[in-house]
Amino acid sequence: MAATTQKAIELAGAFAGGGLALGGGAIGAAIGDGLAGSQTIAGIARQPEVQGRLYTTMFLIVGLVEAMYFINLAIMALFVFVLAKG
Amino acid sequence: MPSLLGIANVPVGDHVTARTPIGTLNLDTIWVTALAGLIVLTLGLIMRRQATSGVPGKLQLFWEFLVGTVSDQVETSIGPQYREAVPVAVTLFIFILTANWIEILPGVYHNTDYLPAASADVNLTYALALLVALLTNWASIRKRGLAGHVGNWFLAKPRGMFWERLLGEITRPVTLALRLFGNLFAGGIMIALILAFTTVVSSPATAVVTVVWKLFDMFIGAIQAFIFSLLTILYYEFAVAEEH
Repeated sequence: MAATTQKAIELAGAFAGGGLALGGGAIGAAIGDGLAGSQTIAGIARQPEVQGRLYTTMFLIVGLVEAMYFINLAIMALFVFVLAKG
Repeated sequence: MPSLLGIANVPVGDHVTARTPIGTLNLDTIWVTALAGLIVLTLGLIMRRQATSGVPGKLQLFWEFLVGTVSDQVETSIGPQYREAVPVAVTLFIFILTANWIEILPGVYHNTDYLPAASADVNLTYALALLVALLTNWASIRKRGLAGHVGNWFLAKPRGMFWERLLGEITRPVTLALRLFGNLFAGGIMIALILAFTTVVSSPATAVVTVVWKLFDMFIGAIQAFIFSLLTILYYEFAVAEEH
């Protein structure tokens, strides 16, 4: 009985922690991507001929920002699928 | 309502393994890495045979575009005497792109994926990041000599920031590795999750969502390969930068 209660608490904790990690990561990634995109749009509006270079820089920044989110996702997978399973 | 806890049985980080006296080897990562290396070498050798100064074929156009872009980037950031960074960056980009995109090939047999993306294993990404760290430090040592390289840690402006510099030196390869690993690993996890949803949603819907996600995953794989090689060039620049 104590074993299943402990397993239930572990599972609940893992799901809650995984959800928090994903939520915080999603907010951060969305804000970062939005900032990068808004500056790109402002730059293109000011100077349409640098569109190619701005796109390249924007994708670079999006890749770096999304990396934080994906590291969070990997940690969520660690919590939910590995630590709380057995 | 079927139990959603069935989704928690998604297999994560399963590899075909082999036990050796020094540890456990992830065999599927090893053979996918070998396959990716074989593809890159074959493309390069075909390119070498077909290279003409006349009208170029598509493969040659692609290689010329790639090498030209990397060359320009290296020349503007480091300078033309560091041409050795160009093959490193081009090889890393092509190899990581191939290793990421191998996941497209179907290789599932009895619920085991025999052709996973190689960069979804943390061993490969740590090895690549270690290689980048060794190469950049080697470039710095070759430029300044071993004593100069060690002295640079203490004397380069801003002075006296040894611990911060050490932290940066450790953080840069680690984030390089984990960024690539996290992106690819998450892509694989999402596919497994979406397929696990067949207990709740109908099969055609999950097939469509899987295809859409897979396309996005390939896009992410290409961006991460680009970022890895770009950051390699940037770390070369940090390693050989002159004081002003």
